[in-house]
Amino acid sequence: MRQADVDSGLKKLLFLYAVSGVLFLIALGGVIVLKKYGDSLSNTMNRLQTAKQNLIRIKEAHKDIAETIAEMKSIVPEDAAVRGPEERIFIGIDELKSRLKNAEVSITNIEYKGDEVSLPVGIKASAAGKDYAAFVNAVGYLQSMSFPFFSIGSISISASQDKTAVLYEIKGTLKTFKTAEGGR
Amino acid sequence: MARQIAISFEDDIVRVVYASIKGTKLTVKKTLVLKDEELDDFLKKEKTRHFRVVCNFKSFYQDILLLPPVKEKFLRNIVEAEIRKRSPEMKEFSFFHVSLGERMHEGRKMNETFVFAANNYDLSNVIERFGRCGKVVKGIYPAAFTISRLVNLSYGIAADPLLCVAESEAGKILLLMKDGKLYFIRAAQSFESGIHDIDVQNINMTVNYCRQTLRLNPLQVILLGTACSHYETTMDLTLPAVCMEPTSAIIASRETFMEFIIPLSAVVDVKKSEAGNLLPQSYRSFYRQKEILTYYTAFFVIFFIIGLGYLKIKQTEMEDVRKKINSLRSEMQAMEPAIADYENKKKELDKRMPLINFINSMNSSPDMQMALVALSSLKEAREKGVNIDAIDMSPEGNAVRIKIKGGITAKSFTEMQQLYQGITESIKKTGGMHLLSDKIDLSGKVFHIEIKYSGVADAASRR
Repeated sequence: MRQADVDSGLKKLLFLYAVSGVLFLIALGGVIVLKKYGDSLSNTMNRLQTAKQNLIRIKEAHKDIAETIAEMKSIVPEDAAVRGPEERIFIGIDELKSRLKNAEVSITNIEYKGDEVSLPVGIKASAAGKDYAAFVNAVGYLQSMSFPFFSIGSISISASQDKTAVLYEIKGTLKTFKTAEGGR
Repeated sequence: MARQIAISFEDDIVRVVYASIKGTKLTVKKTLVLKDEELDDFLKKEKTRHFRVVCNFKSFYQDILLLPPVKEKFLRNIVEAEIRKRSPEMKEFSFFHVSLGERMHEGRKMNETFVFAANNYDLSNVIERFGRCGKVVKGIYPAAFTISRLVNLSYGIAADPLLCVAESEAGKILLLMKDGKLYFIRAAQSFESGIHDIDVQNINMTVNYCRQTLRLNPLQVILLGTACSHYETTMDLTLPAVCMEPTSAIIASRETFMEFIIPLSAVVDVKKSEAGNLLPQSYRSFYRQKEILTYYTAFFVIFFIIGLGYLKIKQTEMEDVRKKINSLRSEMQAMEPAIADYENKKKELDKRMPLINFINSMNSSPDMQMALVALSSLKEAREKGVNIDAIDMSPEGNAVRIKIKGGITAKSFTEMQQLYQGITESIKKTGGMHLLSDKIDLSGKVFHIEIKYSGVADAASRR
């Protein structure tokens, strides 16, 4: 076979092969790029859909926060911004003394721990055996105090030496919060 | 059903056979007889691209070589070298060889091989004639080789030597066969169709040559095709002669079979015929490269088109996704005030969190009042003679730990035991009370009881 014919025939085919190869590579490249771009778009859409779903949760969370804050405001006394924590504690101890008139109330010094302000309190009382209900009510009163709160550390009930009376002793702490006024 | 076209060059005549092959059956669809000068026009008009060609080469080389037994892959090179040595006038040639079997020669085992070679120049002239018309010659065979295959198909493999005589426009073709293999080819001049005196003379001379030179004694003369049409001779053949009858493997009329026996033989059992294909190596390489390039080009083009289709589909899909994204983004933008509001609220909550935690910790202390109420269940035991000397209560996590110390006034140990059991049972029955430990001192009649009060439900209801 004449070499020129072979060369010519093959050259023509090689050219077509090269052109088709380049077109194939372009198409392949396009497919790869488009596939990646498509994946990226799908991810973006999924993220946006998730964000949209999260918006509903955000609204619910917003409602919960508002309720929590409102509840907290209802607990914090109205004069929180006016009175300091020490003053509040002293008011609390005075109220306590006036409520438990027959009891001996002893205090030590005010303690500070972070934003917490506390005053250790000891309450001693002697009563006839039938006054148990009054004692239970007194404990209930202590537990219901707020700003300052009364944290009961221990309660001791014992009979007197002659067994004629019952001795009650409550050890606890009056506690309030320095920035309680910020709660309102 | 594979379609095959075979073309036989017979002097100034060209015979064409269109055949279809299904399994082992070959059906002749169409036959043509063209003048040599009409072939180019025929090729230009014909849509089929691939052809099988049979030629009667005017010059060729044939021989039976004795070669050392070597592997087939080396044999071809040895045969080529032998042809070059024995026929120096052949410069560029194509050949085929047929192993005839082993033979002892000068005490050594040798491989007896029949070789046939034709000039590439003659082959190229034919192939390029097709090439100029955009056609491809799949195989080019010497007529003697294809005829031998047809004889094998009709008669089976005959162990005895046979002398076959076929006829073309160029003259008679005589071929000696044994064990179904070619041993000798002779092209003899003949001026008339059929067997005449001159042909008998040639046949007898060939038989003598076979006996004397090749040491093979043909037992029969087989007349093929039109060689069998006339038998007008005054001379006698030295061997008995028979006419070859059409084989059942070829579905064609008797006349077609007889007249087109040479081109027909080229399309019979085409796979086995490849052994006698004289297509030069340069053409084989060219066709192979062309085929590979064509397939790859087609592959690339197909995948390019598929790729374009994919891109088009993907583009449409992505347009939809992009629209959805834009819609979601605008929805998100509309919701930005709600998000900002939430963030402000969250900041406010964070600021108040220490106070909230303080309130929560204060409210999470155990309910001492309820514990005291629960202890009033001991009143009944006290009335029966149990003296409670001391009660100590202290918070422990969400529960209250209660220690009770007391004494029992009883007349007997049994009564004491009953009273003590009564007080412990009373504790156990009280809701929220869990007896941690209890101990009674029999001699002192004093007892120590430890209780855990966890009135969780009550404590929760308090808040």
